[in-house]
Amino acid sequence: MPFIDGLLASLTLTNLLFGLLGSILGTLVGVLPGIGPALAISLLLPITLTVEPTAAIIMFAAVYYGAMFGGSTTSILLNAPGESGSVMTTIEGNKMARSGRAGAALATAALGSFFAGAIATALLAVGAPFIADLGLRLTPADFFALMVLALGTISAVMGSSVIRGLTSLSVGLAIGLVGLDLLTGTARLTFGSAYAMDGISTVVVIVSLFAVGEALYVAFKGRFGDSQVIKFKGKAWMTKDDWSRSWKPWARGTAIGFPLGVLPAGGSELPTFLSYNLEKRMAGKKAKSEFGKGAIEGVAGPEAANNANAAGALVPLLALGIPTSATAAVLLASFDQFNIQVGPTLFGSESTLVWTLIGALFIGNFLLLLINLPLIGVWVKLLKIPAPYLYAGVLTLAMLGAYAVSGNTFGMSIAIAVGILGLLFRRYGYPITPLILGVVLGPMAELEMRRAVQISNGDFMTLIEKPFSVVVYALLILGIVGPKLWPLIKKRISTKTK
Amino acid sequence: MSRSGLTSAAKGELVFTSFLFLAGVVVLTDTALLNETGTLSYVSPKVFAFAVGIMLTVLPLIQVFQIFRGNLGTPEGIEGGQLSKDVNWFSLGLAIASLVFYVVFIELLGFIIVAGVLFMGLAYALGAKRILRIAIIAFTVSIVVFFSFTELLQVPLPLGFDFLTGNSSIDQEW
Repeated sequence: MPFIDGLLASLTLTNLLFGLLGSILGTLVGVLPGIGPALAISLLLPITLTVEPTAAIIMFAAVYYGAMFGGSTTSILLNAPGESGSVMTTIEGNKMARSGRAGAALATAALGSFFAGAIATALLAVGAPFIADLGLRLTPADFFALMVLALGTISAVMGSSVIRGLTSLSVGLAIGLVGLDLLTGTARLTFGSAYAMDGISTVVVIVSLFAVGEALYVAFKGRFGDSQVIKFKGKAWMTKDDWSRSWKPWARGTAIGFPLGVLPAGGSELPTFLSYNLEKRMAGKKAKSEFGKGAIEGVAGPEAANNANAAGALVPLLALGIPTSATAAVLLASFDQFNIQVGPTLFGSESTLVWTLIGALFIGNFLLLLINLPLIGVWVKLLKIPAPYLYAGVLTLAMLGAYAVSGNTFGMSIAIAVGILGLLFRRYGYPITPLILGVVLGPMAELEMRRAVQISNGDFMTLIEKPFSVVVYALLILGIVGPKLWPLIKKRISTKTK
Repeated sequence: MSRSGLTSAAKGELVFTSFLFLAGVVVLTDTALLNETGTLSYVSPKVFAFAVGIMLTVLPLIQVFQIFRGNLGTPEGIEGGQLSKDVNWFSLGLAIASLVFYVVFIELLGFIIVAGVLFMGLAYALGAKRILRIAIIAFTVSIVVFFSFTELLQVPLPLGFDFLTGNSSIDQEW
């Protein structure tokens, strides 16, 4: 059994230590406001220069899961979601904390994350090889279609408008063009600079968009108030009643989160939102009266959906090599650093690594439960670090990363320029994720497109000839136009019934 | 919005959107002027680049019309803080200056000094006010980070002041 072997392989002392380190760091960045999982992993990318692949990837996986666990703590105690997937948790979680039920809220969040993480990782273990198998049968034209689908729908879903999302995407695609063309060696957008020939490092772009961009934005337009942390002492635990009210939302949240993670639906906002609304609708009499005032179902569901969604996003990443969220894009960049080709062949060529990674996710998930429930008080203390110092520290690490990865002034100047771009994107309401996916996925999509046309001797029609690609493009159009049409259809239905 | 004039926010967005449009024009011109070195491939490197260039010119152009219709972007919220009404050019300038200092002097003065200065500049720009306390924290952080990366993680960082010892790490790089 490859899976059992993987689980055993991940149980070496070094790997466990890196897993533990990753769990702690992940919880840390989840708890601290302003640092999400994508930024956290990209800040850690310089270690890929020295640490061996398995240990590093185990650590990144643990950070990935850990950030989801930690995010709920800030939502509940600080009323500030640490990352976008925790916004829904904030609604009921903070109300619960205010009425003295912080312990139960934190416990249902942690246990729900654990429960969802375990089930979703099992689904990943079963589903990913199956999808990878399908992936082996896909042609370059099919892959190109899938990548266009991922880029298009995510860009359309993420921003406040489709145009803004697609603009952000095209900026990312343009950044991805810089450097020598992979197939012919033609220099694009280098303007004679020898450094630009190598292209712009994905890691530098991600780190500076998040860390530098956010810091400059806050300096320019923000101000930190005195944050009000709700005092919480003692243990995070639940009563029997809390248990019986939590387990169903956990299961439903997992059922919503996982499939939406597999599909390119634009991250964790949608599944957590859907889960919250479902719980609100399905709530019993007692719970219904509590919604809006602190209902435990409203914490349990979205938290489970959030974690299951994170695990689901690993399916297209590992099985097809297509990232569907900013964090998945960073994970892809980290695989790149080790020259590991993610995609359908991964389960054949690096099967030990994949199964070790999946095994590590199970172990990390368990470690996270341990370090989150009894040690919750320690994490809460971290919320007292003043925000200016926190941001300054993150920026210092980000610029260190830019230096370590590029090693020259050009790379670091790019970091500042991209940081300013990040500031402007935030100021004028352009979403960041499409840009990152454009930088990461753009060159891959171009390569598949050219392979496809090459195979068919220069016939571009090959891209839309097979039923598979036609279905995918139809889905893309539905994904972009659908959200616009839905309100109109709803309006028509409601006027008809009247 | 009145037709007579745009608000300053709208003007700012107009400038930014035009900049994006210009970037699109640059992509298109660069692609048009490409010297193709290899012609073995059926698909020239121009195809994808042209598509990107077209997207990056057409989309901002649509957005410019949106701005004139009063459809402005909403500034993103700030985690653990609030958006202030006014913009703070001094803080932004200080933050960028600290970054530029870091990039320009990292080889010469070494990581510890430039990272300490960067930390100080940014902490002050973001609202920390007690300079001495900032300085102590900044240099503690930069020293701890320097040694944990160079010693524990074996990631080389410049120590600086090579001009004193005569063996320049900058020369070695070339």
